[in-house]
Amino acid sequence: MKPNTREIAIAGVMSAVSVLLAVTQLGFIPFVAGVSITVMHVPVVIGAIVAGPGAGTLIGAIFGVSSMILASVAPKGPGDVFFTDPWVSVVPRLFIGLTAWGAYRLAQAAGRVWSLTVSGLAMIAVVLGVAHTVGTAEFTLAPALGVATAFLGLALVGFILYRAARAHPEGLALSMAAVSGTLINTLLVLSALVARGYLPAAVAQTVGVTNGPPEMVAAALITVAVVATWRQVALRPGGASI
Amino acid sequence: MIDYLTTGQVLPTGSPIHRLDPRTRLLGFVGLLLVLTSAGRPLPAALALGVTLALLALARVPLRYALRSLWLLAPWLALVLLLQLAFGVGDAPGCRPLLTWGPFRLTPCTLRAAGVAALRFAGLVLLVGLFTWTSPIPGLARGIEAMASPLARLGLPAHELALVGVITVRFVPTMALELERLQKAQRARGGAAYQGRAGFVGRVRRTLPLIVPIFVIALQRAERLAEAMEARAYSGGAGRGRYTRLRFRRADGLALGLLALFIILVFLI
Repeated sequence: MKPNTREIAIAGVMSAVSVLLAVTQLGFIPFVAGVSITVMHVPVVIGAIVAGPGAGTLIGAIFGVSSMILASVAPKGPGDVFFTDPWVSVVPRLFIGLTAWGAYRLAQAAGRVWSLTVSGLAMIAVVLGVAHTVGTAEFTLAPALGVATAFLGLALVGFILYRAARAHPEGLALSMAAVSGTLINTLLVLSALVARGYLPAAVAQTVGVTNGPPEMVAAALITVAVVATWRQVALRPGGASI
Repeated sequence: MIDYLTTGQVLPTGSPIHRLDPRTRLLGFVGLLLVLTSAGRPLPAALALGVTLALLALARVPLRYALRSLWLLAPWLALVLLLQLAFGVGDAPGCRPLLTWGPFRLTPCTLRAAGVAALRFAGLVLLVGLFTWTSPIPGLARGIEAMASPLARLGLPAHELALVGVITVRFVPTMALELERLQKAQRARGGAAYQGRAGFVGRVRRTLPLIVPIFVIALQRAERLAEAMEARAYSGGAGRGRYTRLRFRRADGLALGLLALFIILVFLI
Protein backbone atom coordinates (compact mmCIF):
# COMPACT_ATOMS: atom_id res chain seq x y z
CA MET A 1 0.00 0.00 0.00
CA LYS A 2 2.93 2.32 0.43
CA PRO A 3 3.22 4.60 -2.57
CA ASN A 4 6.59 4.70 -4.25
CA THR A 5 8.41 7.94 -5.02
CA ARG A 6 7.05 8.18 -8.56
CA GLU A 7 3.47 7.85 -7.35
CA ILE A 8 4.01 10.51 -4.72
CA ALA A 9 5.48 12.92 -7.25
CA ILE A 10 2.78 12.33 -9.85
CA ALA A 11 0.01 12.65 -7.26
CA GLY A 12 1.45 15.93 -6.02
CA VAL A 13 2.00 17.49 -9.41
CA MET A 14 -1.33 16.35 -10.85
CA SER A 15 -3.09 17.83 -7.84
CA ALA A 16 -1.26 21.07 -8.52
CA VAL A 17 -2.53 20.98 -12.11
CA SER A 18 -6.05 20.40 -10.84
CA VAL A 19 -5.82 23.42 -8.57
CA LEU A 20 -4.36 25.45 -11.43
CA LEU A 21 -7.24 24.51 -13.74
CA ALA A 22 -9.69 25.55 -11.06
CA VAL A 23 -8.02 28.90 -10.53
CA THR A 24 -7.45 29.90 -14.14
CA GLN A 25 -10.10 29.87 -16.82
CA LEU A 26 -8.51 26.86 -18.46
CA GLY A 27 -10.60 24.48 -16.44
CA PHE A 28 -13.87 25.84 -17.79
CA ILE A 29 -14.94 25.14 -21.36
CA PRO A 30 -17.96 27.19 -22.39
CA PHE A 31 -20.88 25.06 -23.38
CA VAL A 32 -24.28 26.51 -24.23
CA ALA A 33 -26.01 29.59 -22.91
CA GLY A 34 -23.30 30.67 -20.51
CA VAL A 35 -22.96 27.30 -18.80
CA SER A 36 -19.46 25.90 -18.61
CA ILE A 37 -18.15 22.38 -18.57
CA THR A 38 -15.42 21.75 -16.05
CA VAL A 39 -12.41 19.55 -16.64
CA MET A 40 -10.79 19.82 -13.23
CA HIS A 41 -11.39 16.16 -12.57
CA VAL A 42 -9.29 15.11 -15.59
CA PRO A 43 -5.99 15.25 -13.63
CA VAL A 44 -7.56 12.74 -11.24
CA VAL A 45 -8.34 10.39 -14.12
CA ILE A 46 -4.92 10.78 -15.72
CA GLY A 47 -3.18 10.40 -12.38
CA ALA A 48 -5.10 7.19 -11.74
CA ILE A 49 -4.22 5.79 -15.17
CA VAL A 50 -0.54 6.70 -14.95
CA ALA A 51 0.12 6.10 -11.26
CA GLY A 52 -2.57 3.79 -9.94
CA PRO A 53 -5.77 4.01 -7.89
CA GLY A 54 -4.10 5.18 -4.67
CA ALA A 55 -2.59 8.20 -6.40
CA GLY A 56 -5.92 8.82 -8.11
CA THR A 57 -7.81 8.82 -4.82
CA LEU A 58 -5.28 11.17 -3.29
CA ILE A 59 -5.51 13.58 -6.22
CA GLY A 60 -9.28 13.40 -5.91
CA ALA A 61 -9.10 14.25 -2.22
CA ILE A 62 -6.86 17.25 -2.84
CA PHE A 63 -9.07 18.33 -5.75
CA GLY A 64 -12.08 18.15 -3.45
CA VAL A 65 -10.44 20.07 -0.64
CA SER A 66 -9.14 22.73 -3.02
CA SER A 67 -12.59 23.14 -4.57
CA MET A 68 -14.01 23.56 -1.09
CA ILE A 69 -11.43 26.20 -0.19
CA LEU A 70 -11.81 28.03 -3.49
CA ALA A 71 -15.59 28.00 -3.17
CA SER A 72 -15.30 29.65 0.23
CA VAL A 73 -12.59 32.16 -0.48
CA ALA A 74 -13.20 32.99 -4.15
CA PRO A 75 -16.68 31.93 -5.22
CA LYS A 76 -17.45 32.15 -8.91
CA GLY A 77 -21.08 31.14 -9.18
CA PRO A 78 -24.14 29.80 -7.36
CA GLY A 79 -22.74 26.28 -7.43
CA ASP A 80 -19.88 27.42 -5.22
CA VAL A 81 -22.33 27.92 -2.39
CA PHE A 82 -22.84 24.17 -2.19
CA PHE A 83 -19.20 23.31 -2.64
CA THR A 84 -18.35 24.80 0.74
CA ASP A 85 -19.88 21.63 2.16
CA PRO A 86 -17.24 18.88 2.22
CA TRP A 87 -19.86 16.18 1.77
CA VAL A 88 -20.50 17.65 -1.67
CA SER A 89 -17.02 18.74 -2.65
CA VAL A 90 -14.65 16.21 -1.05
CA VAL A 91 -16.33 12.86 -0.45
CA PRO A 92 -17.61 12.25 -4.02
CA ARG A 93 -14.20 13.05 -5.49
CA LEU A 94 -12.54 10.27 -3.55
CA PHE A 95 -14.06 7.71 -5.85
CA ILE A 96 -13.02 9.14 -9.21
CA GLY A 97 -9.53 7.70 -9.13
CA LEU A 98 -10.55 4.17 -8.26
CA THR A 99 -13.36 4.13 -10.83
CA ALA A 100 -11.18 5.48 -13.62
CA TRP A 101 -8.39 3.05 -12.88
CA GLY A 102 -10.81 0.14 -12.59
CA ALA A 103 -12.49 1.00 -15.89
CA TYR A 104 -9.11 1.37 -17.55
CA ARG A 105 -7.93 -2.04 -16.41
CA LEU A 106 -11.23 -3.71 -17.20
CA ALA A 107 -11.37 -2.22 -20.67
CA GLN A 108 -7.80 -3.29 -21.34
CA ALA A 109 -8.50 -6.81 -20.19
CA ALA A 110 -11.84 -7.13 -21.88
CA GLY A 111 -10.78 -5.94 -25.30
CA ARG A 112 -12.43 -3.54 -27.70
CA VAL A 113 -15.49 -5.44 -28.74
CA TRP A 114 -16.62 -6.26 -25.23
CA SER A 115 -15.93 -2.73 -24.01
CA LEU A 116 -17.92 -1.13 -26.81
CA THR A 117 -20.79 -3.53 -26.21
CA VAL A 118 -20.88 -2.87 -22.50
CA SER A 119 -20.70 0.89 -23.05
CA GLY A 120 -23.52 0.75 -25.56
CA LEU A 121 -25.71 -1.24 -23.18
CA ALA A 122 -24.90 1.09 -20.31
CA MET A 123 -25.88 4.10 -22.37
CA ILE A 124 -29.17 2.54 -23.40
CA ALA A 125 -29.82 1.78 -19.76
CA VAL A 126 -29.14 5.39 -18.81
CA VAL A 127 -31.49 6.75 -21.48
CA LEU A 128 -34.21 4.37 -20.34
CA GLY A 129 -33.59 5.36 -16.73
CA VAL A 130 -33.88 9.03 -17.58
CA ALA A 131 -37.06 8.38 -19.53
CA HIS A 132 -38.53 6.59 -16.55
CA THR A 133 -37.71 9.18 -13.90
CA VAL A 134 -38.57 12.10 -16.13
CA GLY A 135 -42.06 10.75 -16.48
CA THR A 136 -42.56 10.58 -12.72
CA ALA A 137 -40.98 13.82 -11.49
CA GLU A 138 -42.67 17.13 -10.75
CA PHE A 139 -40.60 20.12 -11.81
CA THR A 140 -38.85 18.96 -14.91
CA LEU A 141 -38.35 19.62 -18.58
CA ALA A 142 -41.00 18.32 -20.89
CA PRO A 143 -40.38 14.55 -20.80
CA ALA A 144 -39.58 14.27 -24.48
CA LEU A 145 -37.00 17.03 -24.26
CA GLY A 146 -35.33 15.35 -21.30
CA VAL A 147 -35.06 12.02 -23.02
CA ALA A 148 -33.90 13.62 -26.27
CA THR A 149 -31.14 15.49 -24.44
CA ALA A 150 -29.98 12.33 -22.72
CA PHE A 151 -30.05 10.43 -25.98
CA LEU A 152 -28.12 13.05 -27.94
CA GLY A 153 -25.57 13.49 -25.19
CA LEU A 154 -24.91 9.80 -24.86
CA ALA A 155 -24.82 9.35 -28.62
CA LEU A 156 -22.01 11.91 -28.70
CA VAL A 157 -20.20 10.02 -25.94
CA GLY A 158 -20.60 6.79 -27.90
CA PHE A 159 -19.24 8.45 -30.99
CA ILE A 160 -16.19 9.72 -29.14
CA LEU A 161 -15.57 6.27 -27.68
CA TYR A 162 -15.75 4.76 -31.12
CA ARG A 163 -13.36 7.34 -32.56
CA ALA A 164 -10.94 6.81 -29.69
CA ALA A 165 -11.03 3.07 -30.24
CA ARG A 166 -10.03 3.59 -33.85
CA ALA A 167 -7.41 6.27 -33.22
CA HIS A 168 -5.23 4.63 -30.62
CA PRO A 169 -4.47 1.07 -29.52
CA GLU A 170 -5.50 2.00 -26.00
CA GLY A 171 -7.90 4.72 -27.03
CA LEU A 172 -11.00 2.91 -25.92
CA ALA A 173 -9.61 1.96 -22.54
CA LEU A 174 -8.44 5.51 -21.90
CA SER A 175 -11.70 7.11 -22.90
CA MET A 176 -13.68 4.60 -20.90
CA ALA A 177 -11.61 5.46 -17.89
CA ALA A 178 -12.31 9.14 -18.49
CA VAL A 179 -16.03 8.58 -19.07
CA SER A 180 -16.39 6.41 -15.95
CA GLY A 181 -14.44 8.86 -13.83
CA THR A 182 -16.57 11.76 -15.03
CA LEU A 183 -19.73 9.75 -14.58
CA ILE A 184 -18.88 8.89 -10.98
CA ASN A 185 -17.99 12.51 -10.31
CA THR A 186 -21.27 13.84 -11.73
CA LEU A 187 -23.36 11.09 -10.18
CA LEU A 188 -21.92 11.34 -6.69
CA VAL A 189 -21.80 15.12 -6.55
CA LEU A 190 -25.41 15.43 -7.68
CA SER A 191 -26.47 12.66 -5.29
CA ALA A 192 -24.73 14.49 -2.48
CA LEU A 193 -26.54 17.70 -3.42
CA VAL A 194 -29.86 15.91 -3.32
CA ALA A 195 -29.07 13.93 -0.16
CA ARG A 196 -28.05 17.11 1.67
CA GLY A 197 -31.26 18.76 0.57
CA TYR A 198 -29.64 21.50 -1.50
CA LEU A 199 -31.24 20.64 -4.81
CA PRO A 200 -34.49 18.89 -5.64
CA ALA A 201 -33.94 15.60 -7.41
CA ALA A 202 -35.51 16.72 -10.67
CA VAL A 203 -33.20 19.72 -10.99
CA ALA A 204 -30.19 17.56 -10.17
CA GLN A 205 -31.20 15.08 -12.81
CA THR A 206 -31.64 17.82 -15.40
CA VAL A 207 -28.20 19.17 -14.62
CA GLY A 208 -26.75 15.68 -14.83
CA VAL A 209 -28.33 14.94 -18.15
CA THR A 210 -27.32 18.22 -19.76
CA ASN A 211 -23.85 18.65 -18.25
CA GLY A 212 -22.78 15.03 -17.87
CA PRO A 213 -22.26 13.87 -21.46
CA PRO A 214 -20.32 16.98 -22.60
CA GLU A 215 -18.05 16.63 -19.57
CA MET A 216 -17.48 12.99 -20.43
CA VAL A 217 -16.64 13.94 -24.00
CA ALA A 218 -14.22 16.66 -22.93
CA ALA A 219 -12.57 14.37 -20.39
CA ALA A 220 -12.20 11.57 -22.92
CA LEU A 221 -10.67 13.85 -25.56
CA ILE A 222 -8.19 15.34 -23.12
CA THR A 223 -7.26 12.02 -21.50
CA VAL A 224 -6.57 10.28 -24.79
CA ALA A 225 -4.55 13.23 -26.09
CA VAL A 226 -2.47 13.57 -22.92
CA VAL A 227 -1.70 9.90 -22.34
CA ALA A 228 -0.97 9.27 -26.02
CA THR A 229 1.43 12.20 -26.04
CA TRP A 230 2.98 11.10 -22.78
CA ARG A 231 3.54 7.59 -23.97
CA GLN A 232 4.50 8.90 -27.40
CA VAL A 233 2.11 6.68 -29.25
CA ALA A 234 1.05 7.90 -32.69
CA LEU A 235 -2.61 8.80 -32.73
CA ARG A 236 -2.67 8.89 -36.49
CA PRO A 237 -0.70 6.44 -38.63
CA GLY A 238 2.04 8.41 -40.30
CA GLY A 239 2.31 11.11 -37.68
CA ALA A 240 0.91 14.63 -37.69
CA SER A 241 -1.11 15.89 -40.59
CA ILE A 242 0.39 19.39 -40.67
CA MET B 1 -5.81 34.81 -8.44
CA ILE B 2 -2.31 33.56 -9.06
CA ASP B 3 -0.93 36.09 -6.60
CA TYR B 4 -3.34 34.70 -4.10
CA LEU B 5 -1.76 31.32 -4.47
CA THR B 6 1.84 32.40 -4.78
CA THR B 7 1.99 34.82 -1.89
CA GLY B 8 0.19 32.50 0.49
CA GLN B 9 -2.81 33.58 2.37
CA VAL B 10 -1.73 33.29 5.98
CA LEU B 11 -2.34 36.44 8.00
CA PRO B 12 0.54 36.56 10.47
CA THR B 13 -1.15 38.35 13.33
CA GLY B 14 0.60 36.36 16.04
CA SER B 15 -2.64 35.70 17.84
CA PRO B 16 -3.26 32.89 20.32
CA ILE B 17 -4.81 30.87 17.51
CA HIS B 18 -1.63 31.16 15.46
CA ARG B 19 0.40 29.95 18.39
CA LEU B 20 -1.59 26.78 18.85
CA ASP B 21 -0.18 23.44 17.79
CA PRO B 22 -1.18 22.74 14.15
CA ARG B 23 -2.85 19.55 15.27
CA THR B 24 -5.14 21.49 17.57
CA ARG B 25 -6.10 23.84 14.78
CA LEU B 26 -6.78 20.91 12.47
CA LEU B 27 -8.92 19.14 15.04
CA GLY B 28 -10.76 22.36 15.76
CA PHE B 29 -11.36 22.91 12.08
CA VAL B 30 -12.65 19.40 11.53
CA GLY B 31 -14.79 19.55 14.66
CA LEU B 32 -16.45 22.83 13.73
CA LEU B 33 -16.80 21.63 10.16
CA LEU B 34 -18.67 18.55 11.34
CA VAL B 35 -20.94 20.63 13.55
CA LEU B 36 -21.72 23.05 10.74
CA THR B 37 -22.37 20.39 8.14
CA SER B 38 -24.50 18.22 10.37
CA ALA B 39 -26.56 20.96 12.00
CA GLY B 40 -30.10 20.45 10.84
CA ARG B 41 -31.74 23.06 13.03
CA PRO B 42 -31.18 26.79 13.33
CA LEU B 43 -29.82 26.88 16.90
CA PRO B 44 -26.74 24.63 16.49
CA ALA B 45 -25.93 26.26 13.17
CA ALA B 46 -26.18 29.73 14.70
CA LEU B 47 -24.03 28.65 17.64
CA ALA B 48 -21.36 27.27 15.33
CA LEU B 49 -21.41 30.46 13.29
CA GLY B 50 -21.09 32.47 16.48
CA VAL B 51 -18.13 30.39 17.63
CA THR B 52 -16.45 30.86 14.24
CA LEU B 53 -16.90 34.63 14.45
CA ALA B 54 -15.51 34.62 17.98
CA LEU B 55 -12.48 32.65 16.79
CA LEU B 56 -11.95 35.08 13.95
CA ALA B 57 -11.91 37.90 16.48
CA LEU B 58 -9.49 35.94 18.66
CA ALA B 59 -7.25 35.37 15.65
CA ARG B 60 -7.14 39.16 15.20
CA VAL B 61 -8.40 38.89 11.63
CA PRO B 62 -9.81 42.28 10.60
CA LEU B 63 -13.57 41.96 10.38
CA ARG B 64 -13.76 43.71 7.03
CA TYR B 65 -11.25 41.25 5.54
CA ALA B 66 -13.06 38.28 6.99
CA LEU B 67 -16.42 39.38 5.70
CA ARG B 68 -15.06 40.06 2.23
CA SER B 69 -15.29 36.44 1.14
CA LEU B 70 -18.79 36.27 2.57
CA TRP B 71 -19.62 39.41 0.63
CA LEU B 72 -18.40 37.76 -2.57
CA LEU B 73 -20.62 34.78 -1.96
CA ALA B 74 -23.67 36.79 -0.88
CA PRO B 75 -25.36 37.23 -4.28
CA TRP B 76 -24.98 33.55 -5.09
CA LEU B 77 -26.17 32.57 -1.66
CA ALA B 78 -29.23 34.78 -2.03
CA LEU B 79 -29.99 33.21 -5.39
CA VAL B 80 -29.61 29.72 -4.00
CA LEU B 81 -31.87 30.46 -1.04
CA LEU B 82 -34.51 31.92 -3.34
CA LEU B 83 -34.39 28.81 -5.48
CA GLN B 84 -34.59 26.61 -2.40
CA LEU B 85 -37.66 28.47 -1.20
CA ALA B 86 -39.21 28.32 -4.64
CA PHE B 87 -38.66 24.60 -4.98
CA GLY B 88 -39.93 23.95 -1.48
CA VAL B 89 -36.78 22.34 -0.17
CA GLY B 90 -37.27 21.24 3.42
CA ASP B 91 -41.02 21.23 3.15
CA ALA B 92 -42.81 18.69 5.30
CA PRO B 93 -46.44 17.54 4.98
CA GLY B 94 -47.35 18.92 8.40
CA CYS B 95 -46.37 22.53 7.71
CA ARG B 96 -49.15 24.95 7.02
CA PRO B 97 -48.32 27.28 4.14
CA LEU B 98 -47.97 30.97 4.88
CA LEU B 99 -48.16 31.92 1.24
CA THR B 100 -49.08 30.07 -1.91
CA TRP B 101 -48.67 31.12 -5.50
CA GLY B 102 -49.47 28.47 -8.05
CA PRO B 103 -47.23 25.46 -7.43
CA PHE B 104 -44.93 27.39 -5.04
CA ARG B 105 -45.62 27.44 -1.33
CA LEU B 106 -43.87 29.22 1.48
CA THR B 107 -44.10 27.40 4.78
CA PRO B 108 -42.37 27.76 8.15
CA CYS B 109 -40.51 24.53 7.31
CA THR B 110 -39.01 25.85 4.08
CA LEU B 111 -38.14 29.13 5.78
CA ARG B 112 -36.37 27.25 8.53
CA ALA B 113 -34.50 25.10 6.01
CA ALA B 114 -33.44 28.23 4.15
CA GLY B 115 -32.34 29.83 7.42
CA VAL B 116 -30.27 26.79 8.38
CA ALA B 117 -28.72 26.74 4.90
CA ALA B 118 -27.84 30.42 5.13
CA LEU B 119 -26.24 30.00 8.56
CA ARG B 120 -24.43 26.89 7.47
CA PHE B 121 -22.91 28.33 4.32
CA ALA B 122 -21.93 31.56 6.02
CA GLY B 123 -20.32 29.54 8.78
CA LEU B 124 -18.48 27.30 6.32
CA VAL B 125 -17.09 30.22 4.35
CA LEU B 126 -15.85 31.97 7.48
CA LEU B 127 -14.47 28.74 8.95
CA VAL B 128 -12.47 27.89 5.83
CA GLY B 129 -11.24 31.48 5.72
CA LEU B 130 -10.21 31.29 9.37
CA PHE B 131 -8.33 28.08 8.72
CA THR B 132 -6.45 29.35 5.69
CA TRP B 133 -5.56 32.61 7.42
CA THR B 134 -4.13 30.94 10.49
CA SER B 135 -2.42 27.80 9.16
CA PRO B 136 0.89 27.98 7.35
CA ILE B 137 1.36 25.05 5.02
CA PRO B 138 4.50 23.50 6.53
CA GLY B 139 2.89 23.41 9.95
CA LEU B 140 -0.24 21.99 8.44
CA ALA B 141 1.64 19.20 6.68
CA ARG B 142 3.44 18.40 9.88
CA GLY B 143 0.18 18.34 11.78
CA ILE B 144 -1.53 16.05 9.29
CA GLU B 145 1.41 13.72 9.31
CA ALA B 146 1.57 13.66 13.09
CA MET B 147 -2.10 12.95 13.44
CA ALA B 148 -2.19 10.29 10.78
CA SER B 149 0.94 8.51 11.98
CA PRO B 150 -0.91 6.31 14.49
CA LEU B 151 -2.80 4.99 11.49
CA ALA B 152 0.50 4.18 9.80
CA ARG B 153 0.47 0.94 11.69
CA LEU B 154 -2.70 0.02 9.84
CA GLY B 155 -1.01 0.72 6.54
CA LEU B 156 -1.98 4.34 5.97
CA PRO B 157 1.09 6.10 4.54
CA ALA B 158 0.85 9.23 6.68
CA HIS B 159 4.18 10.76 5.76
CA GLU B 160 3.63 10.21 2.06
CA LEU B 161 0.17 11.78 2.22
CA ALA B 162 1.49 14.89 3.88
CA LEU B 163 4.32 15.04 1.37
CA VAL B 164 1.87 14.93 -1.55
CA GLY B 165 0.02 17.89 -0.05
CA VAL B 166 3.24 19.84 0.31
CA ILE B 167 4.27 19.03 -3.27
CA THR B 168 0.88 20.22 -4.50
CA VAL B 169 1.12 23.57 -2.82
CA ARG B 170 4.74 23.94 -3.85
CA PHE B 171 3.99 23.20 -7.50
CA VAL B 172 0.91 25.34 -8.11
CA PRO B 173 2.93 28.53 -8.69
CA THR B 174 5.43 26.56 -10.77
CA MET B 175 2.71 25.20 -13.02
CA ALA B 176 1.17 28.65 -13.27
CA LEU B 177 4.46 29.99 -14.58
CA GLU B 178 4.75 27.09 -17.02
CA LEU B 179 1.26 27.84 -18.28
CA GLU B 180 2.13 31.45 -18.83
CA ARG B 181 5.32 30.49 -20.67
CA LEU B 182 3.32 28.08 -22.81
CA GLN B 183 0.74 30.70 -23.73
CA LYS B 184 3.42 33.22 -24.66
CA ALA B 185 5.40 30.69 -26.67
CA GLN B 186 2.33 29.68 -28.61
CA ARG B 187 1.35 33.25 -29.22
CA ALA B 188 4.87 34.05 -30.42
CA ARG B 189 4.57 31.23 -32.90
CA GLY B 190 1.23 32.47 -34.12
CA GLY B 191 -0.68 29.73 -32.40
CA ALA B 192 -3.58 31.79 -31.18
CA ALA B 193 -5.81 31.09 -34.16
CA TYR B 194 -7.06 27.57 -34.40
CA GLN B 195 -9.48 26.24 -36.88
CA GLY B 196 -11.24 23.06 -36.17
CA ARG B 197 -14.62 21.50 -36.11
CA ALA B 198 -17.36 23.85 -35.00
CA GLY B 199 -19.53 23.28 -31.98
CA PHE B 200 -18.71 21.82 -28.62
CA VAL B 201 -16.20 19.21 -29.79
CA GLY B 202 -14.41 21.93 -31.74
CA ARG B 203 -14.19 24.11 -28.69
CA VAL B 204 -12.72 21.30 -26.61
CA ARG B 205 -10.22 20.58 -29.39
CA ARG B 206 -9.19 24.23 -29.33
CA THR B 207 -8.32 24.06 -25.64
CA LEU B 208 -6.12 21.03 -26.24
CA PRO B 209 -3.07 23.02 -27.45
CA LEU B 210 -2.85 24.49 -23.96
CA ILE B 211 -4.16 21.69 -21.81
CA VAL B 212 -2.23 18.77 -23.30
CA PRO B 213 1.19 20.41 -23.01
CA ILE B 214 0.54 21.53 -19.46
CA PHE B 215 -0.33 17.98 -18.46
CA VAL B 216 2.68 16.55 -20.24
CA ILE B 217 4.95 19.16 -18.65
CA ALA B 218 3.45 18.29 -15.28
CA LEU B 219 4.11 14.59 -15.79
CA GLN B 220 7.66 15.28 -16.94
CA ARG B 221 8.31 17.42 -13.90
CA ALA B 222 6.87 14.73 -11.68
CA GLU B 223 9.26 12.18 -13.13
CA ARG B 224 12.18 14.55 -12.63
CA LEU B 225 11.06 15.23 -9.08
CA ALA B 226 10.89 11.51 -8.33
CA GLU B 227 14.38 11.04 -9.78
CA ALA B 228 15.71 13.93 -7.71
CA MET B 229 14.18 12.54 -4.55
CA GLU B 230 15.60 9.10 -5.16
CA ALA B 231 18.99 10.54 -6.03
CA ARG B 232 18.98 12.06 -2.56
CA ALA B 233 18.23 8.66 -1.06
CA TYR B 234 14.61 9.36 -0.23
CA SER B 235 13.04 6.13 0.85
CA GLY B 236 9.73 7.04 2.38
CA GLY B 237 8.77 7.95 5.89
CA ALA B 238 10.02 4.93 7.75
CA GLY B 239 12.61 5.83 10.34
CA ARG B 240 12.61 9.48 9.34
CA GLY B 241 13.46 12.07 11.96
CA ARG B 242 12.30 15.65 12.09
CA TYR B 243 13.88 18.97 12.85
CA THR B 244 10.86 20.59 14.49
CA ARG B 245 8.97 18.95 17.25
CA LEU B 246 5.32 19.39 17.93
CA ARG B 247 4.37 19.82 21.54
CA PHE B 248 1.01 20.17 23.14
CA ARG B 249 0.87 23.08 25.53
CA ARG B 250 -1.68 24.33 28.01
CA ALA B 251 -3.35 26.50 25.40
CA ASP B 252 -3.83 23.44 23.21
CA GLY B 253 -5.35 21.46 26.04
CA LEU B 254 -7.70 24.32 26.83
CA ALA B 255 -8.68 24.71 23.18
CA LEU B 256 -9.33 21.01 22.71
CA GLY B 257 -11.30 20.87 25.94
CA LEU B 258 -13.49 23.76 24.86
CA LEU B 259 -13.96 22.14 21.47
CA ALA B 260 -15.09 18.88 23.05
CA LEU B 261 -17.48 20.76 25.34
CA PHE B 262 -18.92 22.64 22.40
CA ILE B 263 -19.51 19.49 20.40
CA ILE B 264 -21.21 17.81 23.36
CA LEU B 265 -23.32 20.91 23.92
CA VAL B 266 -24.44 20.97 20.31
CA PHE B 267 -25.29 17.30 20.52
CA LEU B 268 -27.42 17.84 23.58
CA ILE B 269 -29.35 20.81 22.25
